[in-house]
Amino acid sequence: MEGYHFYFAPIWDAIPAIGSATAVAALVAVTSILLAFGIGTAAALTAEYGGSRTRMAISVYVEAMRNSPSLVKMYFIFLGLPSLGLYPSPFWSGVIALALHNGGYITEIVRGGLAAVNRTEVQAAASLGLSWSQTQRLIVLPQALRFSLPALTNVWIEMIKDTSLTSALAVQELFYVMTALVSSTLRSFEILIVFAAIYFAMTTIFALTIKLFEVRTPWR
Amino acid sequence: MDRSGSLFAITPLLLRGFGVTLLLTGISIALGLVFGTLLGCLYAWGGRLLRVLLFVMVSAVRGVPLVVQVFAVFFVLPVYGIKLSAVSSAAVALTIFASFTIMEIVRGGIEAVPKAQLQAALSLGFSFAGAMRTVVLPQALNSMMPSLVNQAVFMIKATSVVSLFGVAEFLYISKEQIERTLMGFEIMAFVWAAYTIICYPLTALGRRVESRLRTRGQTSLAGVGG
Repeated sequence: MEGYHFYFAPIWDAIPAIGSATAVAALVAVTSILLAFGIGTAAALTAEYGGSRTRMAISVYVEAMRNSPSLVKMYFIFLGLPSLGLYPSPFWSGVIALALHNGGYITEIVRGGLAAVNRTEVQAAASLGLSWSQTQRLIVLPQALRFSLPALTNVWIEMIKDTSLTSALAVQELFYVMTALVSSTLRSFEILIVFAAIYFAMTTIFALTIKLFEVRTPWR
Repeated sequence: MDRSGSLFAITPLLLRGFGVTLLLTGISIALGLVFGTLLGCLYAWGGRLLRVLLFVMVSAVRGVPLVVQVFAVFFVLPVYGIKLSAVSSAAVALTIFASFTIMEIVRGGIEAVPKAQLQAALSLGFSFAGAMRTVVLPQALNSMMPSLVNQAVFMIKATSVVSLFGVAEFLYISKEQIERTLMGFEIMAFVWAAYTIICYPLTALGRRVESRLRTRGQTSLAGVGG
């Protein structure tokens, strides 16, 4: 390491490419986070209020998701579904795999949050004449989600980092562009530092934003 | 193309890949437990400088995707003149990752034991090492068990990342076979099932350990109150 000279010039030239790669990574992250949140919340509510058979189906889904890597689901969608005549794009294969995989974790977390909401709140809402959907939307879910926010944040941060896995399907996000830059410029050390910093900034900014939101939102 | 029955023909090949996955997981968990425990103890009892250093390290490991860390080991170690095979590089990267995540678990476990326990043991004439070994660490281990089991499941899944670097583990071999036989659906369903069969019992164990811990916590708390 004595004679190593840092040489960042290739990175300045690559700034437009790095910018668009960051945008792609952010797009993958935002889309899959929103989808996963929708899937998880819907599945948790279904399990909470459904019959024993639907509850069984939801727990089969949860176990199928959290006992295998998200890469397996990506390849299943991207390389497996074409056998059935479906040809999903790399972007959507990655996004849907991430959403389904993490949706399983979010289901469990939101179920825990729902269980933590006091049952008497539901009874009180019913006695005030609120409909089921009003009760969920106005009374139960806001509390349940607030209970689960710390655990949800952890999953979302994992998801931001896991956007890097979509490079396996040649989605041109940060890690894909990073490996391309390394092979074209051979400045692996400098490029590694810059891209690690971008990922670190994305996860840190996200975590701080949630923290701020957590502090700002009045409890009840 | 004849697609019928050929999944059976390549099963031994795929399972050999799964063997590599489990080997990498085993190595990284075993070494991660050793280094993670050492680092966790250093973190819990070390001086301020050491704690800051370990905090920076663990933040880097947790804030940056595992693929980038594996990349660092594959392409940065050669800069320092360290040249390893693909499988060894993968083992090194996974061990570093496991060590720092287990460090956090160990530190949390130690800090969850009330300080009064250590003080009481010391006042009874235990040496620091003796108090740790017989009073603090056994209790810490109890509260660490669920996280450690979950970490094992996480590592089995995380090893799949090294397939992006040409390490011939389960996913890499499977992808290679899909390119050869075009049986994407069958092979990926097989891979999915194989991972689930190995991980599900561990996930169930983790849940059992966790609920047992919670029940025990409640009974011990009730004992204090009574």
